Amino acid sequence: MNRSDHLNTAQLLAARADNLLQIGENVLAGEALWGAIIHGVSAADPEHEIQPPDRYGNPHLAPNTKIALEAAAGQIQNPLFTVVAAGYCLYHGQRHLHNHFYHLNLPPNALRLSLSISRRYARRLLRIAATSLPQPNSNP
Amino acid sequence: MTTSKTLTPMQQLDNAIAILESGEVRQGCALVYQAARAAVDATTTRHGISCPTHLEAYNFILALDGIPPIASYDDPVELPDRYTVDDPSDDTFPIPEYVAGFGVAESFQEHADTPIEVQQSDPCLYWQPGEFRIFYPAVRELIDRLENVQLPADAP
Repeated sequence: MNRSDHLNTAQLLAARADNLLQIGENVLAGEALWGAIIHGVSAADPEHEIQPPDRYGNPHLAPNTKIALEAAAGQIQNPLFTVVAAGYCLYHGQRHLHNHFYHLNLPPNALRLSLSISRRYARRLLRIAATSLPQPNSNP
Repeated sequence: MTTSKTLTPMQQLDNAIAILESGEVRQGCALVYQAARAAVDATTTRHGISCPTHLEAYNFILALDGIPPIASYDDPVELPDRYTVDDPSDDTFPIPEYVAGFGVAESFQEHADTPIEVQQSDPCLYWQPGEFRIFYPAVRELIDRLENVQLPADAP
């Protein structure tokens, strides 16, 4: 997937998460938000398309580990997405929402807070990605 | 040797990270949380507020993000609209940052309280050795924010 594909997927997942939140499907919404964050980081990362393929043929390590997220944050170099923000994405997105999807281990307050924070970071990433992607040449 | 009582919360964090990185994971994790808690206590003391219990400290953190207090951990946290409703004109994307940072600090304490064998048995649910490093900056930022926070009580 190139960065535009990741952005489109992130936008779809973020919109799906909003729909799920509106009908109270918080567990599913959390998983969709974590997906939106992962794709949002790939879309915002300017190095995404020039990384050598990994052993599975993917052009970039999925930014779902501390190393990949930290590296992506360093490459994105946007004041709205720092290494601290990457930490929050990993903490609230993966450790809370993604794990809750499998284990249902979060108390309601922690789930709600992580949904709110992850939703905000997903939106932040989408905006960063949308403004950092190379714009198609508008000349005929 | 300097005792923790005479160290600033940020110095306590540096010590805690050094201990954690040396392999003393449980002790280091506990000290990371204690550094964050020391920053809360220093801030509340500076402003003449007392938060002796964990719940009171948590409510203080909620207040810094503009979130109403809770009476117990079973009560729902009421997030103001600015955290849940998108405003396309708002580029700052308000996020409950104090809550986010304090949550990370609490997670270090959770690790200190969880037997190592339990953590190792579920690598998805618990951070593994070496995975802590990306979370140090969040605690550092929390302490920095607390050291520099301006409460209404500061107003002349």
